[in-house]
Amino acid sequence: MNEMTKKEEATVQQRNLPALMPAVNLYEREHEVLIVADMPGVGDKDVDITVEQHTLTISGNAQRTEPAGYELRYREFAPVQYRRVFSLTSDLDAEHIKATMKNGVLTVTVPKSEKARPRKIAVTSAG
Amino acid sequence: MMIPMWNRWDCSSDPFSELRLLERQMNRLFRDVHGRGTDYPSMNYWSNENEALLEVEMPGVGPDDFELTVTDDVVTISGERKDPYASEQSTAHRQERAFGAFSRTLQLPFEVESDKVTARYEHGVLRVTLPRREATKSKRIAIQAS
Repeated sequence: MNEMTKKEEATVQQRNLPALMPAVNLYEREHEVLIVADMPGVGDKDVDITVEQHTLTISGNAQRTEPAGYELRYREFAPVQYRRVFSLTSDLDAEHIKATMKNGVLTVTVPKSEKARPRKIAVTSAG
Repeated sequence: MMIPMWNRWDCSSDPFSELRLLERQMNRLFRDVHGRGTDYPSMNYWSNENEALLEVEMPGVGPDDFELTVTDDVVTISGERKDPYASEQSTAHRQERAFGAFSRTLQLPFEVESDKVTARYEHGVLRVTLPRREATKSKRIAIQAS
């Protein structure tokens, strides 16, 4: 039997949407790296973040319903699937990634791994 | 008129709209290369006999950061997209998202009942319903036979 599961079906639907790379800003703080991506039309339930080895993928569907009973006059943006792939360097901690979605902007926080953080060495006086 | 699925990017009034949409998406991809952007914010708009619908893409612009004004047949959206990380001590390694003040105006084919305009902002997209002013709607004239 080749019945498609719900998840597979969703993936097929996603493939039918044109893919677009979201505009991204990358910031580095003392203890973490921030990925900030514009994904208008994507809610927190429509966004997908996966980490596979050293690859971080962000994706989200901006599904929009076309209003019925109206004539389209002008179009500058269309329903799309946002997708962008980042490679994580080994000094980042892929186990503790956090993400928030607000006003169509995705913010992914990737902490630096313990050993990559700047450390202050306490100096003791030797008598 | 309903726009069929296979034809959804094709504005019946403008044969080049699909081409413009493509150009816009290409510009967006290469924006940081040649430094030239497109009109901001991006808009879609629909209309029928009674009202117009406007969809505006404004990610990261909170409801308090923009203003919507309607005068007769002109809609203006203006505001400022603020960079929440501008003041902090962080290093920016990549900046593809633009910030600053913006303003964009759209002229509709009819005057709007400005008291009845409704707007909703969700997930970075603003949706505005603009009802047509009653007095400007076309009326059918009964022809009397002599």
